[in-house]
Amino acid sequence: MKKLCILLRLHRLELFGINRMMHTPGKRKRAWAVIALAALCGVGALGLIGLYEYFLALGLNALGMLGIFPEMLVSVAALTTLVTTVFKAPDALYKMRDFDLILSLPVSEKTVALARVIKIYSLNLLFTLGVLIPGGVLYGIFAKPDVQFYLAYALCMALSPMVPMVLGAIIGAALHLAGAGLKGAKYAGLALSFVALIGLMVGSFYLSFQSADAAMLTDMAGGIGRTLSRIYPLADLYHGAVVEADPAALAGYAAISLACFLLAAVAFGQGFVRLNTFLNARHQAGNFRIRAQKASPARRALLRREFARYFACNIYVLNTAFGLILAVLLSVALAIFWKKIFPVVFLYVGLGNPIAVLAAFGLALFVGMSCTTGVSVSLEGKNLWILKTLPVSPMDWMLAKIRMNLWLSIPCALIGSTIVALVIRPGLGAAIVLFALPISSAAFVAVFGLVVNLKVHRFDWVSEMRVVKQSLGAMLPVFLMMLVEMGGGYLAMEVSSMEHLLVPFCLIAALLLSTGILLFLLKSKAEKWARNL
Amino acid sequence: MLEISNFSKTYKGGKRAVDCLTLSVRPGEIVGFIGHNGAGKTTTIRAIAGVLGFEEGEILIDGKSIRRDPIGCKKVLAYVPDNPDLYEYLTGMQYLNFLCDVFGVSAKLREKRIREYAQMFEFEKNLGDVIGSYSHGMKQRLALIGAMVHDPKLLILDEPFVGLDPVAAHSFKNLMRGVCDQGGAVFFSTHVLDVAEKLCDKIAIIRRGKLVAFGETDRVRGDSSLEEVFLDLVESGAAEQ
Repeated sequence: MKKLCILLRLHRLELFGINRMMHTPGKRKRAWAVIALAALCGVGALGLIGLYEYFLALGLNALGMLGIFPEMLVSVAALTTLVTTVFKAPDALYKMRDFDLILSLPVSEKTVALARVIKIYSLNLLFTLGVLIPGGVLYGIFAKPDVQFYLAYALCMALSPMVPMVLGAIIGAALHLAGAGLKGAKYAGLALSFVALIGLMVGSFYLSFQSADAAMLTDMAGGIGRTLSRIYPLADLYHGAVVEADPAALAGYAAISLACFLLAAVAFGQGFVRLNTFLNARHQAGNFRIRAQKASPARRALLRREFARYFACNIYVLNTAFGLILAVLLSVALAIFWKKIFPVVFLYVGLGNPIAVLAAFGLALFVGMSCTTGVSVSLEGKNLWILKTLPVSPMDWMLAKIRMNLWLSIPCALIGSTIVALVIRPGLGAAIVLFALPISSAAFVAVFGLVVNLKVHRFDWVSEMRVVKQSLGAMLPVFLMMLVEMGGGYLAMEVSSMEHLLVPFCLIAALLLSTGILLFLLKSKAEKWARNL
Repeated sequence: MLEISNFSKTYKGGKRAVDCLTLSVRPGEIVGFIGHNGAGKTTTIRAIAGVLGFEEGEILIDGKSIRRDPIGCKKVLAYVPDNPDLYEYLTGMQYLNFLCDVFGVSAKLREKRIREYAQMFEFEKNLGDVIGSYSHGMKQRLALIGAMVHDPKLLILDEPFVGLDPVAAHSFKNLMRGVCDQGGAVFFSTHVLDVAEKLCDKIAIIRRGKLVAFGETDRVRGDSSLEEVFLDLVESGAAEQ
């Protein structure tokens, strides 16, 4: 137990680089600022989630379907846990840089494995609490349940991440293994991960759509409940345990969750070293022969290196490219199903809404959430000395990072915009917005992300996942763009001037101006910022 | 080739890692830089290579200031750190091609040089493998090949022999002498005083950030061994404290 606590303390000290800042002279104040900012972001995120859940609860209450509210939330939390664990599992469980060091200590493999499992469980639990706590409060306000609800709800909150986490870890490991067994391993593993995640999402939406059709006509609550059961098989038990206060259902939910979790934890602990050795073994062919080589300009070499770095880390790709691919797929789905979907959307959006403007904000949101530069400097890690000793200016390699981000985001934005434009056939103004908003968002977030990472960076990471998913550089550009695009989209609908085009045009201008200012700042400060890295 | 004048480095928090260091390395010289752990060797070397910024003093490489013309300096120097963290996601060949592209080495020349150095270090067959699969010694050899491939005039090395097997170490010593014979220079730190004694034309000894001895190896060593001189200096420094 003591050694487990020591390992968990080690994980905690690594979070957000706070410990390093606290013990670096002159950076203590920054540590407190980071803690304050993280807390602020957490509160902000909680507020946003709470607001969304409030409107959902309000709507369900008005329809007399408040009973499915808790299981709706837990299904969403479970699905998100499953998907994110597929991302997180390989790096969090199998590919840690301190593997050799930790295992050379007098700590059992099972304890090391358990520490990893608890770490990933804690992260999932944090997210689950963020979704379920506001939901529980809102349900309490609307439904005024007994004390038993709160007790069962609290217990199930702790249990709910377990089953999806175990499934996610198994899928993540299986994808990693499958990729490892194929030639061109990293690309195969990546492609399989994308296929699995997109399959999950498409499958969930398809199931929802299929049953929603019939459910809308007959028994709405029951239909939605059945849909939720397909997404989250324990939804029925959860409903029984929490809403109906059925002790048998609660016992069943707890038993299944705990059994699943404990079995997986034990199995993982037993095979921890073997699994890590197998997954991390690197094959050496040792049969290379030098042939005629090709020269490239330095600029192209730097860009090529950026792409190699990008595709070397699956979680980096999944985290940043998933939104872009989803944007393209949704555009294609709109093109195929728009006549079927449009009447449904029409009912909720209302008459006369400029769909093209909304689509522009949607595309810009996905593009804005696909910022690779926000962590690209941190990911240099201990390789930074190479860039620093090359005869290239800091601006050269910084621009290479921006260019790589744009090479990923702009083609996807153009494809999505083109498809939507062909389907909806907007007027000139709306068409300009449809193309210009995603592109200007892509440019802004690429430059902004780099500036953030140059100012706030970490090179002492032991897992790439920490940098890609949990650093300020990863989160700040995404939160900012969510705020800008969602807020902008809302405002665009509220302000009907120029057929709802005033707000998007203003936003495009603001994004381009901001990008220009940031580029100017980068150019003037590049040398200094690079020296301070 | 290398002129260090009154170089000082103070880190945030007030730690003065190097204090008024002055020395020079002429073309054709191999200079060994020795000192105890934490003496300031790596700080000095990183400042010369342009990896570490500094505000006091000046460092000139082939007459150019590393602060005012870093790119001009980096074009003629090659730096290998003590524990070279290379791009684990590239193959050895991809890494060398990347360096050659940035340094502007033509396709024909790079093929010739890579082949020559790869054969010297018995590394050709491993160049197609991902760097992540290399042992420490293999990474060290690749880093050294990467340093040589653009024909530098000045080699700045931090503990270059760590991780090299005797054959590779011997090949590299010959390489260093070859660089100097062609008008280049080598400045390297080491804890292996034997190697420093046999290989270096000059020795610089640093103690707690200050240069305490610099000159031709025979003059610095005197009648004793370099090890004895070094231990004396370190012990007298400890006594002063």
